[in-house]
Amino acid sequence: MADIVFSALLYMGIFVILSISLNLINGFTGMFSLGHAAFFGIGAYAAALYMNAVEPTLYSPAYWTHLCIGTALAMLAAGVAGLAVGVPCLRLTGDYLAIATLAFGEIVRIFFQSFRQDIFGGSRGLTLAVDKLDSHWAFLVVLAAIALATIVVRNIKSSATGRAFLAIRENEIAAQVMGMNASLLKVEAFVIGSALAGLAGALFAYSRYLIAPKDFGLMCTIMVLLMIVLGGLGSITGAILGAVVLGLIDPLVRYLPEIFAGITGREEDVAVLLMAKENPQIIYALLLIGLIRLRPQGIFGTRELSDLFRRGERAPS
Amino acid sequence: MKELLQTILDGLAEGSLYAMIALGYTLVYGIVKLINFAHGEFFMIGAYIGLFILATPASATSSPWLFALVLALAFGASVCGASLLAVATERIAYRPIRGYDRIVALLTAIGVSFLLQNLARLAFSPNPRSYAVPGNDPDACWGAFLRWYHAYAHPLGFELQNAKLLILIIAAVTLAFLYTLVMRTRFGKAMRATSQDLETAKLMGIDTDAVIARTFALGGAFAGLAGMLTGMLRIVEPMMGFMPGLKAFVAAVVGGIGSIPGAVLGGLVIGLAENLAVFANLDSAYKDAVAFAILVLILMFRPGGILGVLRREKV
Repeated sequence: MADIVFSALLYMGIFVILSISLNLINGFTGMFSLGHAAFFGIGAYAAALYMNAVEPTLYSPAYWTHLCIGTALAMLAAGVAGLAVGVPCLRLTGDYLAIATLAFGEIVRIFFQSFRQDIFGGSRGLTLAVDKLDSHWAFLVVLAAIALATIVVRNIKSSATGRAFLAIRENEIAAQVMGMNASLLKVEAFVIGSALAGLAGALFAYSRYLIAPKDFGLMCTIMVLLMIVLGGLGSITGAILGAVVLGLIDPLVRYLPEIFAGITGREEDVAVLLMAKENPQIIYALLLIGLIRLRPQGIFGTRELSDLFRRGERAPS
Repeated sequence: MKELLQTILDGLAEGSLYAMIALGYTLVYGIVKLINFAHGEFFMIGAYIGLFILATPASATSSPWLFALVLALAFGASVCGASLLAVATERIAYRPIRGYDRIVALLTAIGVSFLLQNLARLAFSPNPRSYAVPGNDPDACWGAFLRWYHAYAHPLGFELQNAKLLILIIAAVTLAFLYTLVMRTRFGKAMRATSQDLETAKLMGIDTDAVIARTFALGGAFAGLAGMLTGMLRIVEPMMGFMPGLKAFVAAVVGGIGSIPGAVLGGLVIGLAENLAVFANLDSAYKDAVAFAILVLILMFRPGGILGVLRREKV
């Protein structure tokens, strides 16, 4: 039982890191990236390949060292990928950027599915040679990573670079007039965001027996997008909250038919809910449409939880 | 040499399918500056409507005339059905958010696309289906059509070797129709006016709401037609609109979004490039990646597209 709970929590945690990373690109800098799952996947594969190559024994001191190295490698790989995507996309705005990043995400997925199936495992996926971490250990590692990511992004947000990101979101040309190097900043945002996604990917790989290309497709990106829209684009607290809320909704949708049947015992209700269980994506799609129309700023907007405790001058956001 | 010609024909045929879908994207983008991610789903619906009409025992008939009737009905229904879906989508999902932020429009479009895909999965099973009726051979539909053609229409003059040529002919006719519509009719003028400047068009007395709705209908009709044609050649399944939709959007961007000739050119370029790449020994697993590679190149070196005009952003 505890295993299930920790498992659920640790996946929620991984999505928290993903949300924070995507928020940096979409929410803070206003760049519409729809290929984020690709960086997640690159990080996962990098970490998995490293661990497969090294094959440390689980829980030995060497294991933890290799864990860190693998994570660093994953972040590096994802960051480089972010650079490769960010540079060609400098001149793109809005819709074009969305499509370009979407296309990039698809290219990466196709790559993992087809290229060198002996190395990457093809569409069935890559099996990890090392046993996966036990859920409670994995959860602790994920918590540490969340803390790290949150601190990093929060520091960025209150730094000059962070303000520059926000300025670019508001009006890129005005920011350039004020002397900011928009191109460099946009690439920076991409690289940092993708590196953090790589971090999430590495943790994902460590906590599973198998990683497959279908985990890193458009569906994943849309889920993360939904999380940050729900929480509020531009708010770190919002990203965390959105991931938590959606992480709770997912099992709820899946077990709702059983719960309902238990309460009401009526066949028709259960039938409808069973359909929803087969296709939770319909609910997510409706949620996305409804949310973006009725409350586009999400729950937190651009505010943070710490704003409540701030006295005196409010940080501009 | 013969294989090369066949490859080029395949490329042009696939390219015209992409072009038809791309036309829908470009028309809608030109008029409301919205990338309708759900456009691929209009394509999918066209294929499914064709499926429901053709995968019935009626299509296995030996009477060529009855078959021609069923086929015509299938074409008509799929075009109309996709068109209706397009208009409904515009009315329900896009009209209420007109004038809102770009991000709202983008996310709504993504949401609608997702919703339609999954509704289709729910309504029609996720299993792939084909136009052939169980018990007939897979070519029953196309075979019956060819029999009809050779019996009755062949005297018209040209030899019809395979489905690809038919697609090209249909695409050419469609384009001629669209050109006439946009350039020579009042409605076409209204469309061009609305896409240039919505406010002024309204001031000039143009019912912009109606123009926009009809543009969506037109785009949807083309997508449905392409869907029906694809369904005749390939299997039909709920997610079938995703990849072609994406590639068609790439085609529209490559040709210059907002430009009708651009959409056609882009579609043909992508179709040809894909098939030529496979001909040049590219592993067919990477066929999909060709379109995206072209996109990256175009965006880096000519972001306005081949025929597009890069508008300078003014502050």
